[in-house]
Amino acid sequence: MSHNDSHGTKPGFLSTYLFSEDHKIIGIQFLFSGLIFFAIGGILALLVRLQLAWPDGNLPYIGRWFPQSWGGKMSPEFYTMLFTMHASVMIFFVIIPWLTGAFGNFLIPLMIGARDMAFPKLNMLSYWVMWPAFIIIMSSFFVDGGAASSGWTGYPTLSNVGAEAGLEKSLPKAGDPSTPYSILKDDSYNSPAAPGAGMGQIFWLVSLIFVGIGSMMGSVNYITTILNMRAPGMNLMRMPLTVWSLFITAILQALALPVLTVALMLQLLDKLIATSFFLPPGGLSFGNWHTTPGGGQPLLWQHLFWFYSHPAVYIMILPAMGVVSDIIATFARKPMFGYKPMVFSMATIAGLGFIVWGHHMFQSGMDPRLGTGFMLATILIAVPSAIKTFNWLATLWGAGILYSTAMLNALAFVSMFVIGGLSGIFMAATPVDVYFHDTYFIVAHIHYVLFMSSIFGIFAGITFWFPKMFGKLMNEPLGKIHFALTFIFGNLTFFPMHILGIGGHPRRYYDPTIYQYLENLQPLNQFMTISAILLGLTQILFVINIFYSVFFGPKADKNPWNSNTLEWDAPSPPPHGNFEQIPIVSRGPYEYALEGPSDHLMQSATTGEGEKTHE
Amino acid sequence: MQKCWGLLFAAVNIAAIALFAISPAMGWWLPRNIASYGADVDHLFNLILIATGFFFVLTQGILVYVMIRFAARDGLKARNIHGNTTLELVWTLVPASILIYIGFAQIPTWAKMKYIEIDTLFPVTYKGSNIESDLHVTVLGRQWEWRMRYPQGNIPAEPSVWADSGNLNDLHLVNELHAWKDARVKIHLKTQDVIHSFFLPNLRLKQDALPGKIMPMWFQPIEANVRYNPRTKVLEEIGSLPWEIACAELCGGNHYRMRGKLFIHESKQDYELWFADALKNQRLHESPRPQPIVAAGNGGQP
Repeated sequence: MSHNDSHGTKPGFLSTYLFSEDHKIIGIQFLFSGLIFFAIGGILALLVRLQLAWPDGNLPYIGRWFPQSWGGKMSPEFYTMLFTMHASVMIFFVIIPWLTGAFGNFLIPLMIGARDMAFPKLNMLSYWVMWPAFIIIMSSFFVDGGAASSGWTGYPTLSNVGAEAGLEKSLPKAGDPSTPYSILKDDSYNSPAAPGAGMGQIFWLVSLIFVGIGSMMGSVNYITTILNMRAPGMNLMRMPLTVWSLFITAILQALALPVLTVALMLQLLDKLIATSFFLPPGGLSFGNWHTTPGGGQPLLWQHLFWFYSHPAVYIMILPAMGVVSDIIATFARKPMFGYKPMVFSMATIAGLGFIVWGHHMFQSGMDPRLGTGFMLATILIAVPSAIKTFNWLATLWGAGILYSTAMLNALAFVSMFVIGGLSGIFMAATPVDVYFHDTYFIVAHIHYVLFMSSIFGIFAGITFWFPKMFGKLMNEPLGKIHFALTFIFGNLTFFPMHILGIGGHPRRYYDPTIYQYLENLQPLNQFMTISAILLGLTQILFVINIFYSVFFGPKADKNPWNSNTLEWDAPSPPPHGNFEQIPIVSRGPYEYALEGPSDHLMQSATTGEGEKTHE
Repeated sequence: MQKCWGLLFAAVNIAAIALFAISPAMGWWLPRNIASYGADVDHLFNLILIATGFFFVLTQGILVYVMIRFAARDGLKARNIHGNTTLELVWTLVPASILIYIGFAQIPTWAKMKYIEIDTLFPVTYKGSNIESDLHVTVLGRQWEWRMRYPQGNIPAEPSVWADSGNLNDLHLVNELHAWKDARVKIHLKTQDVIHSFFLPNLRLKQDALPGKIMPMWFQPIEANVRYNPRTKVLEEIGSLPWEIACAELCGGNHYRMRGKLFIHESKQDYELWFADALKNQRLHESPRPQPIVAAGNGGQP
């Protein structure tokens, strides 16, 4: 390990590992905080699943943690908080930080041959503004009324009614018996719509604003770094697909995030100073409480929210696509099939991603003629997705596949992305979506894209670059067991959700069994819960593997996978400054399946004799 | 050993197909369709199921095949191929044409469901609230129930004014939607608090209720499930399962309890017999918000 010797003086512990400006350390910080939140989000999901499987039973063991007034069961309000926080945590604190924060930070400078990011201080800040977000979102469970409960989409008017000024009569005093654990009490923010729509919603909004600021700093940094700091010879069309995907994602984020931030601010103003951006003229009544007439429009929130959050879906899948492409080429020992179509299809997905947000709103009350336009644009997104899938398959065709753990996870990404992509076509079709909207079919779709695809992509990426991050190899047999169990239990958990959706099972239901038409779906709900528990337990293997390997894993050399991209030219782990000498790039990243003693040629390799390069 | 991975992928995919294959037999499928346009929706669903099913089998089949066939072994040499323009064109244009076909094939159904009139492709007219109907009903969502309001004579003089303000002679019910077989029913959907979504699974119909707006919905049931007995004053069920109404947009803690029932009478006469008695009953109780005649799964809140 030549960790510290390249720059002479040894920096202190704090500046090396905590307040580090080194992109690699920042990436690893994002990796570990993501891991913590992955566990939290997973536990929230399991609580949701427990309730769905046994809605009327007292919960063994867990029941006694609940306040006495709930009687050993979770309350319906608490249930709405669980799924709201599960989605918010997984999306904003796990998947986006892992893909853009961890992979983006760690990989971009290494893969383009730079010593660090363009703005290292800004980069450090992009991680440290996450901490207020972490603290605020976690403490929101303990505020008066409990955590946010309006779904991760936070639709008004469920979410934004509540500031005392907006109500003609003030609300009941704080200290509602349903929240005996409150540490913050201020009854002027209580909402008549839901307990979690008071202080909890305010915390949720503030937390996401911090996340947005952090992501914005990251995006600016990634775009600048990629455009300005590539090593000599690394022209854009020689960049690995991982870098392309992170570049496109950063542009998406930079363009879409301001819209979300504005929307969050507007909702915050609605809550704090009783503006009415998302409250309709005419006012609302909740029992005996009436809001003052507003001048806004609840639908406006949906437009603003989805204008960000649909591109956000691609922010959560594009980097995984890039990562998986590089891993597949490496372990197929074969050049990436159709490099340019892969780049263009990612750009097309991103571009189309900006004009399809309305497909979340087919049933919202938007003009149905507008729905047709959104439907056609949405359906067309399947084209670049198909191009990517077929190119991956063509890369594998005629390959010599090495089944490493990273490769297995990457292949699972391809397989699962096909399912997630195809199920999307049902919802894109407006007449069919009328039925499927807000049923478990959507829950199935989002989990096939975000869990079964993105998370497999992340597992693949972590396993693949682990040697570069820590200079150690992960345990392969343990990794393969973890992969196989995740693949099996993941499918057993999420695939039956499609069937539930076809049966018309609405999402976000505390107790579906009161509906006669859903009664015979209940065995599936129980089956999925058992699978989900096993899926959750399986992830312990992954955590064990990471921590065991960091300390006791076998030492990794520079290029353990015989890959081509520049990061494998740096020591493992790379020192501060990454490269002893900035590499000079003379070819694309996918020169595999070559004749000669070595079947591959690194991007920076200088041997030029008889070489065939493809741009 | 290397080939086992391909078999694992194959097994999971076969299990997925098997689940889809057995689900209709297990009753885990679309609930019975009773809407005039429901057959079109179900047809479209089946069309997409076939198209996506084909590509599912094709892509997963190729994946499993290459995972087994091209697993690294002695003597296997990976080929140095960087791409093929013809293939790229094929797998761009073929899915694109299928998707564009699916895209355009669904427009007439969407138009039918949403009151849109299409002469050619243009002009497109959205008829919103001016559709010919046999029965108007106002549905008001609130935490956590549906309040229905029925006009005397089935069609109010000025539907949009009536939907907004109501009439003293209206019949008020909670969580009960009544209509008759073959009636063109116009729903004026409102909410007084948060967004709700009026979901009628058997009618393949769903619409968000938006605060501050009156959303139009329409349907025409092609089957009946109740008959009114004027002698005993009881609604007799003639179907097997009751048809239910649900809320599909998160509206607070008791979101799941917004359960209603859909009653489709055999005929207009039957509906009117029931309506007359229900209105009489309402006046007897002199209550502007009477109890439902048949106890429905009202949330009991607030």
